[in-house]
Amino acid sequence: MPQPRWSDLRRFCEIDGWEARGRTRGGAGDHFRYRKFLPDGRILRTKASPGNDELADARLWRHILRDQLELESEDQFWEALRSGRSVLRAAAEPSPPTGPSIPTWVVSGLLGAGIAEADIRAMTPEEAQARLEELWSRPPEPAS
Amino acid sequence: MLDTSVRSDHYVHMSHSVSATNARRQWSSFFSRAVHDRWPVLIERGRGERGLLIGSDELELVLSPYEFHPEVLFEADAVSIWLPELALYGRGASFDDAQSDLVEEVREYVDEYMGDAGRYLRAPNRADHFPYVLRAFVADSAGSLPDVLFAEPHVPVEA
Repeated sequence: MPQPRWSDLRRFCEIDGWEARGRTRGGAGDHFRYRKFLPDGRILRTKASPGNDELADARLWRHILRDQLELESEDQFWEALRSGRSVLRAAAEPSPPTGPSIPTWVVSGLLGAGIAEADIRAMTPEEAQARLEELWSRPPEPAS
Repeated sequence: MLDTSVRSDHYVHMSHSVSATNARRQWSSFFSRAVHDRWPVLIERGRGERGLLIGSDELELVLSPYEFHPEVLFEADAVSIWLPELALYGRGASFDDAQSDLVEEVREYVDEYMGDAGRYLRAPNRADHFPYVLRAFVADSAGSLPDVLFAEPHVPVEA
């Protein structure tokens, strides 16, 4: 593998479709900042020093590759530079669902009362519980 | 009804939330309760919108397990400091420069995160950063961000 340079990292970000976020003043002078939004929701960020110095520390380079660029191998980096094509990253593991949830006993109660699952899906947790309470508060139907 | 009243000594029932309307009307009392009495106030608006008013000392206590483990990487002509909790690094000609750069980097990230918190909290690789971002924000507002970032951690970093 060739020794990476900061200019390689900047060029990679251009090829891989990263958003350039301008230059900011830091401890080593100006930095170029980049960000990329992936289709699976991940947000990537990195920065690169100006100039063409080598990225001399292998551990820093490994962190940048793995933790900032989120590449599976260094080959992907060099292949993007060689081909001029952006990297195809594997999608992140699906994250657990977030947002409001309805307690299981409420869903069970509504299903048991004959409410269709599609209708329950459209309810907020408060609506679902209110509907169940309303169903439970009805007087029992007279036996025929 | 979830509203509670505030007595003259700022004490309110601890198991209840207060309505946003009540919180607005008696803001000073509730603020005193959170900060002086050191007990958070749960504020509710409408159905299901909840916020928590908490003293910064208590928040720092809650966040104290979220320690930072920066690692220094010495190069021939530069120093880098990698911050694994936020996947950031600072870099400079000296250790001091690298520390300053990392502090600025963290500030930038906190601003960015808080400016679009909904999106960052949904991002699979960013959601876990939230307590660290919040800790950095609270520390910076108290003027102690470098102290918090570079403090000796109680729990060593995982190998």
